[in-house]
Amino acid sequence: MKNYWILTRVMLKNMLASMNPMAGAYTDGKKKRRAIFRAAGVLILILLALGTIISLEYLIYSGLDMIRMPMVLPGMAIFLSMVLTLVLGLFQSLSELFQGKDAPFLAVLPLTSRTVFAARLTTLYLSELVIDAVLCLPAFVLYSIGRQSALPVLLTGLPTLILLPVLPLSAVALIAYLLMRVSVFARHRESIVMALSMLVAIAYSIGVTLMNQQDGNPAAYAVMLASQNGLLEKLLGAFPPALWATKGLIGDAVMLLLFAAVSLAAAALVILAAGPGYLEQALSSTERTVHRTRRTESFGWRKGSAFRALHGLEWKELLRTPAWAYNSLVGVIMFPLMIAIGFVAGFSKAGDSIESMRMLLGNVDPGYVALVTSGVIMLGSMVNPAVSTAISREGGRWPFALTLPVQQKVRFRAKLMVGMEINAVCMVMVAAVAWYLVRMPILWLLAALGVALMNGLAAAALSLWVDAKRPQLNWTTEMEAIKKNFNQVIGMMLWVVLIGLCAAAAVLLWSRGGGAALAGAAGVAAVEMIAAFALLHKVTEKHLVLQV
Amino acid sequence: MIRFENATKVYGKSDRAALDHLNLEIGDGCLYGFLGPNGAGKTTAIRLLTGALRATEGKILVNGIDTAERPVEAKRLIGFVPDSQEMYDKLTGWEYLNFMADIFGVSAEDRKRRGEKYLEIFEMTQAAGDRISSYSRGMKQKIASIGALIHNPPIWVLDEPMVGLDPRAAFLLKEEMKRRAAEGATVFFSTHVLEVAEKMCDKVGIINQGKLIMEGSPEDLIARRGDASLEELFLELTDKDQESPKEEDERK
Repeated sequence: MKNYWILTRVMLKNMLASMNPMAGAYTDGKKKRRAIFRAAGVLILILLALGTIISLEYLIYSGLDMIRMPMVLPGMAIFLSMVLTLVLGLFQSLSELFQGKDAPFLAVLPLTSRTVFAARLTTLYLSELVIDAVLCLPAFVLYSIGRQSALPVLLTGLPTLILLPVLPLSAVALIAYLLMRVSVFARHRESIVMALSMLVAIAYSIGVTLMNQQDGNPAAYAVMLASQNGLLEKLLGAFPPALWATKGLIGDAVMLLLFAAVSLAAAALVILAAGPGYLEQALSSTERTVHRTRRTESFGWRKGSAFRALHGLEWKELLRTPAWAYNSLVGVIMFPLMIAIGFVAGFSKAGDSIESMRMLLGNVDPGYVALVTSGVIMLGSMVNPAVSTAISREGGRWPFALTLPVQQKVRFRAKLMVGMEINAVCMVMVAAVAWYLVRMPILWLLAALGVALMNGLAAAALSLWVDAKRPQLNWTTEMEAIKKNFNQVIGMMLWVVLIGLCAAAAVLLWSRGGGAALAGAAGVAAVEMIAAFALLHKVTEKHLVLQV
Repeated sequence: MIRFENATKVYGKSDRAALDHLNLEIGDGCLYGFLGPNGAGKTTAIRLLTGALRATEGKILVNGIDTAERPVEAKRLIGFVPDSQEMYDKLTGWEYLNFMADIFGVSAEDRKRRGEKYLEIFEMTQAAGDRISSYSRGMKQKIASIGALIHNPPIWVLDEPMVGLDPRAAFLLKEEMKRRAAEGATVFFSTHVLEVAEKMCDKVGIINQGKLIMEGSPEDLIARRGDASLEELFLELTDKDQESPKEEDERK
């Protein structure tokens, strides 16, 4: 147990140090100023995000309170937290538990595999707890204030919050362990694990959606809406632990105890089951299968262009590095996929609702519908780490990459193309879902997609420009290169600015009709795209040298 | 032909030049060894030559092409073997060679011929289908060397090429370096292994604290200082300056 605490403390210190924006900036004045600027930026972003979440939850709570269903807010926050851990925690578990570069180091320490696993799981648990706290605490506090019963809810709220990530995290850690075990002899293990984990995540989404599906029967709706409990049971029935936690939160001691017992039992079970074999699996992910038997006759020596070579290299690096693949593809591809699954499955029995919506929108100027659709499609380009960390991911190879005789525009084009291919898949998928739901004329849909793509391209080019100007090359783990890269946050901020400019143009032209508003947004998106490319092309091969 | 003309590099606001007015001319067919203690400026010189860094002052010419003015053209003439182990290790050895051949615009026929020849010479044929991440340090060095030769460059630059190589691999590499120099290529390499420089180089340059302090054929240098070996000469030349080795450039 003592070893567990020592190891956990070291791992936490290491994790916090790598997140510290002021780290390593105390000797050089310029570096220190930059670090202070960075830290201030991070703080502002955190406050903005918190402010947005609190405002949103307050609005929802006000609405629910008016219809006398205030308990639904903490219930939904609990449910959302658990589902997020289940879906995204799987990728997090795979990369944090099994793809750490320190496994060989930990393996030679006099520690049991179970101790190492428990310590790793604890650090993972704490990072999930922070996310859950951000989502749930405002809801718990709002509910407490509204009920004028702060003390009981805080008494039950804190244990509920502390226990919240335990069960879903235990489940995903066990699934991650099993995925690693079953793929142990596979040659393309990383790809297989990634494909399997995506399938599992899709299965979750479908499962949750199907269980939550409404049957379209008016009587069932009436029963559901008649009472707060009825609605909660309908909404959270798909995942009983969320219901237990919600009931425990509002004072049902039995339910709280049940939730605590099941959560702790799950954690104990996963440590007992996966703990002993954990280090072996973590170590095996650092090993490589070798087949030193091939003959050169089997190699297809074929000529390609420098662009094709760089484009291929970018894809291979991205797909063959699990941490990069999860972060680049999961957010961008899984999200619209889940929306698509959600809509298709959720509405499959509610044909009347879709028809009603189509009829309603049929009377609206298609330009407006296309404009809103375009805004939704643009969400697909919000996070694009594939492009916003494209130079940073070169890391220690950057000095070598600079010696290659390639014009910067070719280099940038290859990186931009990969990012845009990922974005385009996402955007086309969202556009397809939008078309299914709204059935707008195809030309309007294409116009909406075009505006979104131009905007996405501008955002991607600007993100790449930022990363080329100040690449974060000094990373030690692949996860750090992509996940703890501030350039990704800057990319998102730029995206917000670009979307804001398009929205402003649309609002200004709103009174002239949907077509004019869409044209305005398109014009701004085109200008943004041209400006972003001009900026990117100003970085020539003469500028592209080590910045020391 | 490689020419450094007053090449100077000062990092950031440092008060010391990592490379201080380096003047050097290395002709075709010359096997040139670049010697110096840690932090002397060897890697900085190589990074300037290969276009990864821009000189603060002076210029570097590769076959008459200014590396700062026409970097892409200059880089095309160079085959570079870096000292670090940071490679595109998610590629297989063969994918890496094909990548390098694409970057340098090598025809399918030439890349097949050279690729197979060098894989055979460096005894890497069996391993070429595996990911570079599964290679040992020496194997990585070998595949990097083949990658640098796939376009048959007139100039071959190697940064500490013997590090991590077993005796057989080191022998194979040295033989290839001699062969290429004999064929008329310029071979420029940095090393700490003085014995290698003494035995195989046509010319060596000793650099310390960013300045070229001595240059000539190994025999000439030794003759200038009596019967001392190159090792003794190196120690004598670099010893007195050891009190300020901030090794700033190497760290950067």
